[in-house]
Amino acid sequence: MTLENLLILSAALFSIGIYGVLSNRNFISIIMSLELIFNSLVIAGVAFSRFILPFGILDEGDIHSSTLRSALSGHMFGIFIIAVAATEAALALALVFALSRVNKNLNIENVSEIRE
Amino acid sequence: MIENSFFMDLIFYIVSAVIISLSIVVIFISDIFRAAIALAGTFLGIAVVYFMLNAEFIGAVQILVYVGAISVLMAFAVMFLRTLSKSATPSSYRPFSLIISVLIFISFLIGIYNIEWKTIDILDDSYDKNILGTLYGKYYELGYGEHIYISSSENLDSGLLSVENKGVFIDSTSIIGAYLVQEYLLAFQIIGLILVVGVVGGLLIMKEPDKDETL
Amino acid sequence: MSNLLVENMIWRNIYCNVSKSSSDCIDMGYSFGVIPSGFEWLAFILSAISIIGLFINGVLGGVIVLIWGERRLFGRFQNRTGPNRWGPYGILTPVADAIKTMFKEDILPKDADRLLYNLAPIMVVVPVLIVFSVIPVGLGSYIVDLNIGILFVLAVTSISSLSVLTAGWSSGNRIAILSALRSVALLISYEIPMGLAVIGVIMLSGSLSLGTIVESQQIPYILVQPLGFFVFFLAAMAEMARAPFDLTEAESELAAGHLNDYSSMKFALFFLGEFMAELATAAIVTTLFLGGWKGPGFIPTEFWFGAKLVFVLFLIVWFRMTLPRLRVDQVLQFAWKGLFELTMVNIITTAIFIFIWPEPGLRELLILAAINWPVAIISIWGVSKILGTKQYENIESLKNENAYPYSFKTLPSEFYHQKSEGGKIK
Repeated sequence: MTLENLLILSAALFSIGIYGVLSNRNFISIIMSLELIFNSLVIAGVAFSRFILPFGILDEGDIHSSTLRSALSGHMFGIFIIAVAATEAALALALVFALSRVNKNLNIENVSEIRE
Repeated sequence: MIENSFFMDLIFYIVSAVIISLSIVVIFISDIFRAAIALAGTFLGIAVVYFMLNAEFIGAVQILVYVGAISVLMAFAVMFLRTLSKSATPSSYRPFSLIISVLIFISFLIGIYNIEWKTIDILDDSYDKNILGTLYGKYYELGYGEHIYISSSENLDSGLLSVENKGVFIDSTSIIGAYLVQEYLLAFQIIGLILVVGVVGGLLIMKEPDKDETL
Repeated sequence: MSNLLVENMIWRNIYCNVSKSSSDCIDMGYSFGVIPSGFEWLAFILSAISIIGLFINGVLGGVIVLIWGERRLFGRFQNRTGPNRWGPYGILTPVADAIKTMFKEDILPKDADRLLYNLAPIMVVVPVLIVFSVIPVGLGSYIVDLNIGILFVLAVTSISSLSVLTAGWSSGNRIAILSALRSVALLISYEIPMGLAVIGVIMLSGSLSLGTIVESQQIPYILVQPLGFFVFFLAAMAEMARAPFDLTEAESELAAGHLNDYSSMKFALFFLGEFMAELATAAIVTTLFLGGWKGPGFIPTEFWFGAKLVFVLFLIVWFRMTLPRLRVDQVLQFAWKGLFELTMVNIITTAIFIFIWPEPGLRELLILAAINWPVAIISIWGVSKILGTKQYENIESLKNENAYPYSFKTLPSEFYHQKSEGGKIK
């Protein structure tokens, strides 16, 4: 389990998610693909914070506590991404309901009809 | 024992194969409820990867939020809109999007293999191991050649960092807790605001429009 | 990692008796074993499998005793004897039940989604079994002491809502889908007060690890956190769909809920999952609020844990027998308007206390208990006044159609204007 392996896993999930977003018409499928993309980002962040130390730790003899803790920045980004993704999923599903009420259909290509 | 790298590698390869195949199922299957269940499986596999990376807190949050809430929300939506979401219809852009995503993947691969990552493995070669030892005052060799365990004083601010099996092991939970109320306080509060706005906005969107108003 | 494992008594006894020359074991004084050095991974796998087998069988044995005890208690509560035919005091009745269930026909409904229909029982049982792996049963006897213990428990139990949805959907049955929707609304709502009720305990002990939480309890936290215990207990009862909250299988309304179409071993797995959840809940309540394996005297710590476990299980059965079932809107109101506020009160009082005394000793904990009990009683009284049942106390208000959310007026008029003719309902 090296950094390269994890980054390849992340990249594969990212491109699968991109394919899903571009090739599906159904709104719910598109939300699922978006979640895959968010997850690939979190994997990359956690992998970096596990395998790469911030430069401050290696270079300076006298170490400040915040420098040491910045080794966990990837985790923090992961937590914020997860929180935003949860909000996004809730909002998008509310949109799905609104869309189904107007359209009787979940096809993404009909969304522009809601405007008027 | 569990530090045996072959054992861990084997588990990692199996788990990542499961993740990739389940995510492909999510994209291609026509029954959306099955897709939601496969998505939950993908999230669980990713949580296992987090646990293997010593990121227990993120792993638990992943299960709690993604498997316990987001997948359930998806399945809920599918159930309510049963007649509308029978099948996932592919769009006409399929070949085009296949080319795009393959190109993205290839460019990622090129990037990953062309950069020389300064991972923690380099620490053994180019830096004296004792750097970390002198930093925290305690230094242990525990039987294994590359196994270093460095614990600091009880004080949280000095951190709980150790280098284990050529990887960084940090007691992530307590440090994330300190992070949230110190360095990232503003971001934490903004996330709270975003969640509130999300809840209120979701309710407003979901609300049945009044019959008097014209939508 | 390895030194953490060797602190664990169960692990040490099994692993060090299998592996010949692991340096950790030699340090602890174990020098015998079969598997030579270089094959530590084989010893690891073998001991892991044997520990898992040990715990699963322990849990299953516990479930058998639990089913028997619960049925006996039901009998006593209903003024009858309960099962008493096979074995001493009828203790082998669950075995007879299992044999009977095994020989029933395994039915697959025509509209069922075959894959998910078979997957759902597994998805119910596995998360509950995983919960048992982090519970410290005695001093040094646990499978693993995760540093995120209680968060892990909350995360793993949240999977159960997905499995209920799967079971309901894959049956291809309207009633099952309806009850799955209801029960998932209940499960999601009660997860929030359950998670918030634990925060007081976490603040006092300063750790998420269940082992550390037990060790830090100078006095059982039920004395210091009465509101936390109250909310956690009720939310946990709702999470496992026990009687005051058993919307999922409200027989009078929804047949058997999402289990409607299941038969034979699949039904048995659901049944098993339910009782294992009861056992797990009791174990977690014991660990968090009753001091876990701690107890006075020379008696082994596992005994104290078991005694407290039996007490909590008795409480659960007592609640189940005594209280009538709530309506679906009452259940959700109780979670969002009742328990949620109570947890907030608990968190605020505990946070102020921690701000004043960051590392509480025994004296400070007693002061907190003296503050928290009146706060708990006053806030529970206030919430019960706000949620109140005043409109049901006054019979006259029932005739007002707006007072009662599901009034008789919403039913078609034939339902309540029926008159009996000659003793028969038309």
